[in-house]
Amino acid sequence: MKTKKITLGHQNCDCHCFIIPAKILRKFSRDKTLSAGERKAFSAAARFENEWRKAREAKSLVSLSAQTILPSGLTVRPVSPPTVTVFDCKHHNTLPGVSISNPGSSSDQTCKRAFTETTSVASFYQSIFGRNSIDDAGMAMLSSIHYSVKYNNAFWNGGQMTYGDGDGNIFIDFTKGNDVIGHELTHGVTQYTLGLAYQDEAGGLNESISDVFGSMFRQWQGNQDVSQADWLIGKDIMGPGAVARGFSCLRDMSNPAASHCLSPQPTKFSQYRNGMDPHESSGIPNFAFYKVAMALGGNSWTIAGQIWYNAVTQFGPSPNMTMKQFADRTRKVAVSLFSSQKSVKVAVDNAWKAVGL
Amino acid sequence: MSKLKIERLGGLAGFGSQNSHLRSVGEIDMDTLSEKDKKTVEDLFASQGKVEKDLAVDVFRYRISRTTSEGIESVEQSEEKIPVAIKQTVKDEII
Repeated sequence: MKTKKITLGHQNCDCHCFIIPAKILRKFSRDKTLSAGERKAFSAAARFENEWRKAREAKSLVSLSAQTILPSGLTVRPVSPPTVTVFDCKHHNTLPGVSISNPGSSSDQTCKRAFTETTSVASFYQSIFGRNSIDDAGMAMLSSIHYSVKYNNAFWNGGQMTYGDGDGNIFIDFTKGNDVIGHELTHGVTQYTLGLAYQDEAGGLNESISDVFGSMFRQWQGNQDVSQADWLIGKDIMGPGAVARGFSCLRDMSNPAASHCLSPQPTKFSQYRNGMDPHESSGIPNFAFYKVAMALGGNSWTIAGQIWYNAVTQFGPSPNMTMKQFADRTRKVAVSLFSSQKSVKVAVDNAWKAVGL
Repeated sequence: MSKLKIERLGGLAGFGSQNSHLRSVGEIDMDTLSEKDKKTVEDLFASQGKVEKDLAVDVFRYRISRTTSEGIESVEQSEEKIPVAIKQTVKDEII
């Protein structure tokens, strides 16, 4: 009787992400020490892993196509908050990791934070923009924590968020940044709306949209108006080594070229070059959003945020959108949404002109 | 002995971009890699770093460079395609 007990997947979300990589599943499927039935099960699981990956990409494509085909106004209304799940990679590199039950009451503060902040981002999108999760159809929100060893990064892989613990010197636990969590989840929103590519101008827009909504989420959570906001990206994940060198953030939306940023950015479109890393060129539209929000005052999500959200979500996919096209779209949206407030149109126009667009 | 120079790029923090203070570099002798990893590296250079369309964002990219008789040859690929032995060579630092 074999005693190998291996968890193949999880049932807590509407997906079937595998804990064991496909190549390992295939290896088990050829393992003569296992019974024929077990080998067959592993073989089937390996095939399904591949099909699941294809299904995930197809789901995005269908969602993007639906926006162009279905009549506007035909949307799925929220019936309940999306399921939020957290998985522990236990410092390995395989996603999603091991499912954590009751993540909101876990003694692991990283787990608790990932759950709480993800739930809060869902609430932000629902209450401020009427959006039901990442895909506006109640998609489960899945996060993996403790990814790899001393991993200085967080990312969105097309279906879930992943957070590293940081090396403890340059960066600390990436779940400590509420803007970081808002940033990564917003990449999902962009994937299901504009479907932006991840290079050149579209890539810079993709990154900027995540910074804009990540910062806006941070401000909303802190109930801050635009003058109280720090407009920094990554302030809460800076490690002691970075702070000691005078760095206080990854990026500063209010001053993208500032010397206290670990990665200073261009502030004008004339500085843009094709091939720039999207995290660099995003400084240009970031600065424009900051200028709009500051010109209008109050809470960033009340007017500026609504214009940006509308421009991102209401026009269907546009994978190769340029920054000028996005700027012009926000100009049009500003007029259509706030037709009685000329100051809004002027604020948006002036902000883009200030960055050369 | 062929030496590979490795750079880790991108990620949420924008490692290695033009004005970034974040750098992550390393190097490894090709001869120290397993046969499987050597083949992966050769396949990467042969593919010219062509990246399949992917939905992932903020993931690290790796640039692998080697010197040949025709000069320096480089290839870039996302982290999931890079052998662990190569990924482990880089060290993150502030410059």
